[in-house]
Amino acid sequence: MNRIVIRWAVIAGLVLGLAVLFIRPAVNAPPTSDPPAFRMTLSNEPPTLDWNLATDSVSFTVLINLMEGLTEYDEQLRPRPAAARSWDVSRDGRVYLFHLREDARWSDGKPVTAGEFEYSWKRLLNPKTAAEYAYFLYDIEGAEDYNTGKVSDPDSVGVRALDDRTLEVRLRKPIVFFPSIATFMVTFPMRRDIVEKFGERWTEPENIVTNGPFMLDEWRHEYKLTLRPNPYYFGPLPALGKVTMFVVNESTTALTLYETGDLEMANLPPEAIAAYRGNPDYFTAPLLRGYYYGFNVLKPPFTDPRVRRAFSMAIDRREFPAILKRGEIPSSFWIPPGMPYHNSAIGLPFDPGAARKLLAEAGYPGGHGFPTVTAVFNTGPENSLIAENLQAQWKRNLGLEVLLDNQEWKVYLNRLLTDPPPLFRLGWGADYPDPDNFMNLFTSTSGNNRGRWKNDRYDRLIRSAAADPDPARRQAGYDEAQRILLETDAAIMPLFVATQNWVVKPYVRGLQINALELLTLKAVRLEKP
Amino acid sequence: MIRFIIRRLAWGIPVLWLVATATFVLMHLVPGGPFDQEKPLPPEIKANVDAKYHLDQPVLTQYLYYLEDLLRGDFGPSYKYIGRSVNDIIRDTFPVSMQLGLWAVLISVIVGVGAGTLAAARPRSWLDHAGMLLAMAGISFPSFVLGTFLIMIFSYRVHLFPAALWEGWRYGVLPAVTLALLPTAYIARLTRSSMLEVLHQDFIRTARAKGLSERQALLKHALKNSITPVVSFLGPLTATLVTGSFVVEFIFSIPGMGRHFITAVTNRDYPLIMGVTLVYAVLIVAANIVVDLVYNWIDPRMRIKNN
Amino acid sequence: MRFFRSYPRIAISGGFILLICLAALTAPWLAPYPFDLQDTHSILQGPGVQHWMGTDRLGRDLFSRLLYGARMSLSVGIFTAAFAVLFGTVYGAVSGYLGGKMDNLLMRFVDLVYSLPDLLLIILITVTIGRGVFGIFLALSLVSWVTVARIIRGEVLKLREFSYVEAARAVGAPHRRILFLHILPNTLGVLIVTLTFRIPAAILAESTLSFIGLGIAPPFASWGSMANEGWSAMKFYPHLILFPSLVLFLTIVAFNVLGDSLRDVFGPERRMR
Repeated sequence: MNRIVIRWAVIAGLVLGLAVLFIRPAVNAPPTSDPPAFRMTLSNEPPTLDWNLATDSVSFTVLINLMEGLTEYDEQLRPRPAAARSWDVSRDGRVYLFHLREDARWSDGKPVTAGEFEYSWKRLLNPKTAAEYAYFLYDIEGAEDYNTGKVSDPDSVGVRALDDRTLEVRLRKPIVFFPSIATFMVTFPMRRDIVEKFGERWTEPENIVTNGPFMLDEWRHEYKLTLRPNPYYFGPLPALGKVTMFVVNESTTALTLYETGDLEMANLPPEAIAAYRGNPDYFTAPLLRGYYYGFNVLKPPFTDPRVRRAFSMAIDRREFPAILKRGEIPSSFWIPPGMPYHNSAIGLPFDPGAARKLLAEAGYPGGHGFPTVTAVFNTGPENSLIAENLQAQWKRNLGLEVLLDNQEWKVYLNRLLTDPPPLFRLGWGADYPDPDNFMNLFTSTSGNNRGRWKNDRYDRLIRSAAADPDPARRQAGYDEAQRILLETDAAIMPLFVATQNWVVKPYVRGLQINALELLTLKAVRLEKP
Repeated sequence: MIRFIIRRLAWGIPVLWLVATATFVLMHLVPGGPFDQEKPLPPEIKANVDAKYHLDQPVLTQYLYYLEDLLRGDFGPSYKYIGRSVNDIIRDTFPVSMQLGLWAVLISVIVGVGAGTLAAARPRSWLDHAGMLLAMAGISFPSFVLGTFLIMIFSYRVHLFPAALWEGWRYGVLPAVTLALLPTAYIARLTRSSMLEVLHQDFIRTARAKGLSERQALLKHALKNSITPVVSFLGPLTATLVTGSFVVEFIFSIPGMGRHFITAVTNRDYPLIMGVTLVYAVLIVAANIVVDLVYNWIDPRMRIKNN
Repeated sequence: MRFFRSYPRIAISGGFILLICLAALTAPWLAPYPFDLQDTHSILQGPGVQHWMGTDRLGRDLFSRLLYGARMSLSVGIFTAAFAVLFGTVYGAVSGYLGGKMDNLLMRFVDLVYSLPDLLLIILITVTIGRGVFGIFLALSLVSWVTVARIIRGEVLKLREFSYVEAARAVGAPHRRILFLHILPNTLGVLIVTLTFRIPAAILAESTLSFIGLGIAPPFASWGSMANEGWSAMKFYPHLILFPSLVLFLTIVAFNVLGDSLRDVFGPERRMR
């Protein structure tokens, strides 16, 4: 008896001891004390803080508070001076001269120079860097050739620091929205000494040097990042003493933390929106993010534009906000509201009668003889809801039985690349707020044009609108292009524009959330009662 | 004994090699690559990226590269988390999962074996029924539902424990309990069932006839003899729990390794898939060696034979 | 009636399971609505006269979906458990009985299967044959038999040294006879627990797949995928999670009670008396 009891006691003791050994003591008391702290969440671990290599919005959210590029957004999403004091454009629109501020400093006190932009951009374009977003600068002279290895001399790239304060950028064609591109994270300046000294680990908090309002204090991977004010920042020092960004994948979890007082703001999951509507904490705004279904125009029956138009006109887009409940904006247009040259009058209206007529004209009266088609989307609860609703609408309004199939994300992307399904779901979020970023997708040379649709007139319109400094002519060009894309050819069916939904504690002041879902924290103050 | 351990360790090497090879084949069979994304890369840039990670080489060459790195204990760079090696990621996340997992193992063994023994000692009593009903509750709900229940009760309604995050021991309570419920329930049922069987076998009856008290019979003979199924469950269970659970780490926002078993696959982060799989495989192999040693120790009749 | 009086627990739990199975089979006749009928005017309604259990995010009747969901959950659960237990038992028993080198080899293969990343296997299978009941069943079966194999092997390892087995061997009984007549029947208790545990485990595993987004493909539903749609809205629309978890709970309790009672009736403890 005793021997067994002792044996078990020993085992239990050993295991217990082992477990205790690994338990860390409670490190942080709830962070409510002195320097005003702002606690928020990120939906993922930032894949990288190397801004040349970053591609995703989570990294961007962190970086926009750590760094400052040549330009930044104002409230209307227009580029305004940041690290650059001002800029000049040559008469032919192909040469930009950026003049840098004298007082811009890095977090180690060194001044920000034009050479650091040149280094950053050439590093971005260096094929060895293997930066996925290198093509953002392809409009610079020689950039594409250097990045694709056709030319090995970095000096052939048209970016040059004329002196410490002046950066010259030579473009291969006139681009009116280049200052918008300069807001993007991959173009932020970079310190050669830091990168070369620390190699791949230069983004760790003990090594990284930044030039924005905050600096990186702590990065516990997959768990949290802590930011503190950068004492050398040229602007007013942020009022927040500390920013903690917790990596919380589940928005339900984030909301619970918000409700238990552990966060100053949280993303609102769709189920919670109805309960929070009318609450003073609630904040909603549209995003520059469109959701659409595309056609593979090489696959019958979608080779016939009448069939495509019929499908698009058979969708009552008002049902999406009713289902998703996030205040989505039903859209038959493609350039979203909030972006210049948006025009809500464009796009095919919901008209089941006309849709059935078009279907009949195409040879399928009442849907008879229509082949079986499958709509494919990537797995996800919202995508399912939308797809199932579309299926029901096409059945109701066209009398067609469309099959559904969903695939895991990477499997789906691979399928889009190799063999695009007849009907497929995709979305597009703006990288920078210029319609070119949205309209360029469907040009015949774009890698994003998954439906393989081609239209010369469309291509020409997009090309000339990008170079046209005259707003009225740009408007006319984009209007016509959208009509081709959505009405006459109906290459895609836009469904809705997504929104963002947040809860923010009422004592938070000065928070800027823009339509790119970027949070600017430098002006935030906490007025706790 | 020592020879047995050495022999089994030697067996572990081909197992690990097979695991590595099978995983390598599987992940290359699954469609979609690490750099396929919503905004597709221009082919020229894709070529740069592929060259950086040797993905432009034939698969066999990649495999050999991989094995070579592996022999040096280097799992390679993560494709998703740029600038971090898989070794870094495992070093950061494994200790967290291990703490949580060990707590869960502890809870499930103590509560599970205890409840199972009590239930078997008094079959069909209220104790038995209550215990087994609880055990059923433990296995009747998906862990994401259970975890959310616990959060709703213990951090939302009653502010007893934090709802999520990982700042100290109080943060570990709810996730450890969530993690432990299913194995606890299973161990309790396994113990009860196995114990009931043993209690009716000859040697126990002999022991009773010899005048051993009920408690002695239960603890000394029955528990020892009925513990084998629990032990064979416990080995792999421990390996599974200490490597973390995707669901629990997701719901409670815990920076553990469990999430990588899923996200590495959805990201097609090949080196990370291999890394976490091999860590798990090593633990499985080790756990099973321990299980066999424990068998031997519990029941000398199953003595390891060095045939 | 006599049966009911002698074995009330078996009758009640077995009756409940039968009822659920019947409901699953007759779902098209029982369900007040088609399982995929959307009504955008009655989205997320609570339980009421029109919709007994309320509606989901697309305005579909929850009660009807629960009935159809029973088909998915039960077939995935029962088939997966049956395969796992059958294959796992034979594998584990042979391994444990043979012992030595063969046992070592077979068990190392189990280690291998155990260690492979489940998700890779599951994605691969579902990509190839789709995410219907069969795809999910196959994926879950392939990864779940190993647990059973290990447990049964442990039991057999213990039993084969027992005096009566040694006695049988001494009188020259053939291996097959010893294994199937003397050893396996004595694992019945553990086996039944394992079986009744595998069914809920498979149902739950399918729900975890739904959590990752790889469960039964929409518009079809299983109890697990319905629970997955409901858990995050627990605070706001409790009916979404309440009803699926309730049937899940009752069904699993029924399987367990049935298992325990069967074990008491047919198990070795009774036979040996």
